[in-house]
Amino acid sequence: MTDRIFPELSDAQLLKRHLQGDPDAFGQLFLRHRDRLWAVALRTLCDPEEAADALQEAMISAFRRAGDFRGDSAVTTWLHRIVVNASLDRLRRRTAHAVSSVGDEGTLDLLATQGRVPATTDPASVRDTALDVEAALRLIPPEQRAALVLVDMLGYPVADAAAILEISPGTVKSRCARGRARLLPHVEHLRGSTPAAEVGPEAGFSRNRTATGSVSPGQGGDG
Amino acid sequence: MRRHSAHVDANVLAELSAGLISGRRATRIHAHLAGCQRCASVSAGLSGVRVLLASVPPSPMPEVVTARLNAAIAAEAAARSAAAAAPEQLTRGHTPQPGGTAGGGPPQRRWPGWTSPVAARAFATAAAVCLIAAGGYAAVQLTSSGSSGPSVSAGPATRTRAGTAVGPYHVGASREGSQVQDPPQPSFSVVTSGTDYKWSTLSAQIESELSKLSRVGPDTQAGKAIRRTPTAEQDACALEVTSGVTPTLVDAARYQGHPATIVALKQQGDPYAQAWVVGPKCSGAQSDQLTHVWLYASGG
Repeated sequence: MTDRIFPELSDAQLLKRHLQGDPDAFGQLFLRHRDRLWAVALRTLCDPEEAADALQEAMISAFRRAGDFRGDSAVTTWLHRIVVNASLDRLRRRTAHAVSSVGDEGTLDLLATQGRVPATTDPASVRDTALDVEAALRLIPPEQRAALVLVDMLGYPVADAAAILEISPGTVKSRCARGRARLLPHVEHLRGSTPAAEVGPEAGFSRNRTATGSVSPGQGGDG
Repeated sequence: MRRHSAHVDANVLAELSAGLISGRRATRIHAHLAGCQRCASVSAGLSGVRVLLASVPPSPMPEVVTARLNAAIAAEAAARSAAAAAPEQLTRGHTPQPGGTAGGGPPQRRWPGWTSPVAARAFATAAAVCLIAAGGYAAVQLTSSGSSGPSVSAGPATRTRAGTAVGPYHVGASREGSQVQDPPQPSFSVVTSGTDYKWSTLSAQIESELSKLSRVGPDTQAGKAIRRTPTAEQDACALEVTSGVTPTLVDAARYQGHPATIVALKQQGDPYAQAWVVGPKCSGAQSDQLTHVWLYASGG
C-alpha cells in the first residue's frame, strides 16, 4: 500500500535514485519501512513524542548521509542503525542521571516504586500489559533495552540485531540475557495476566515467534 | 563450584537459556535446576519474560507522525532541489507550455510537486509553478493537468508526491496504538474571512489569515465576533483532514471562486506548518481535498 510510486524498485535502487537527485525516492523508502522504524524508536524510547523526534532526526540524517551507505548491509539495516543510534543518544541524554549506572539496583528500585510499574493490572487488557512492559523497559539500561526491543519484542534474528547495533552476536545475546534478568522482577506480576502465560514458560526456550518474527531487515529486497 | 546447594544467579540462568553457557558448567547448572524449585522458577520466569515481550504487538506509525515525517523529508528534498536548481528555473509565474516540454526538458524535475488528483481534476485549466520561499526553503507547487510537464522523459521522478504526501492522511489505519496520545478535544473555532483564496497566492493568503487570527485573541470582543463554533460537519471534516490534530485556522471561504474550507495547522515552533483546501463534501468520512500546501517558517 505504501509503494504507490516505486513498487518495482528495491530499497537499494530507491536509495540510488535518491542520490541521483530524485526528490521522491527517499520519502518512499521511509514510507516503506516506517512502521518497523517507528516500532524500534517507540520501544526503545518508550515515549511517542521522543520517538517521533528521534525518528525525524534519524530520517533527516539518513537523507543527508545516504552517500555513506556502502552496501555492505541491507538498506533497512542501515536505516535501523541510524534510528537506534538516534534513539540511544536521546535516551542517554535523558537518563544520564537516572538509570545509566548499571548494577545500581537501588536506583531501579526507587524508580520502580515511583509508580511506573503498576502493581495490579486489568487481566483483560493487552493495552495495559503493553504499557506495563513499556514502563518496565524504562528501568533497564539503554543498551540492554535496545537489544531486547529488537530481538525479543520485534523478533529480529540475533544476527540482524548484531548488524544493526554493530556489535557481535554474542554481545547481543548477552545484553538480551542480562536485560531479561533485570526485567524479571519488574514484570513478574504480569505473567499470570497475559495470554502469553497460557503458552507456558517452556515456550520461551523454543524460538517460536508470532507474526513479528517473519519481519527481518534482510527482506527489503535489496540483497 | 556451584553445587546443588547454591542457588544460581538470574543473570547466569538467563545466559544459559540464551546459549551463552556450555559444557560442564551448563551441565552442572542443569543438574541444579532439576533439583531446585526456586532456581527452576526463576528460569521459567526468564522464559516468561521473553514470551511477554513478544506478546506486545507493535503498533503502526500514527498518521500524525507519518505526516510530520513526510513533511520533514519533503522539506529536505525541496531544500536540496532548490539548492541544485538553476535560478532561472525558479522564476515566479513561470508557466510551462502545456505538453511542450516533454522532449527537451531537463532529465528530471528538480523540485518536488505536491498535487492532489482532485485539484488536478477541478483546476486543470492552468498549469502554473507557484513559488513560495522563505528562510532558505522553497516550497514549490506544481499543478498537474496531466498533459503538462516532462512526463515522458523523466520517468517516475516526474510523478507527483500526491500518493505519498497526501495519501497517508486517508489510509484510515487504526489509531489504536496505546502509546499514542489521544487526539485533543476539538477546541478550534471557524472563521469566515470572505477570502477568495487563489492557487497562485494560497500560501501567502493563509499566512495572512493566520496572522490576523493570532492578532485578534479569542477572548477579546473582536475575537469572539469573528469566531464561530464549528458545526458537527466542520468539526468532523477538520479532524479528518488533520488526522485528529486541532487546526489553527478553519476558514469557511472560497477557493478559485468556489466554496471551500481552508484548514491550517501551524503549531508553535513547528517549521513545517501545512494547510489543506477542502471542498463542500468534506466530512468525517472523506476529506474532499482540493489541494494541500506547506507553510514554511517565515521571518526566520
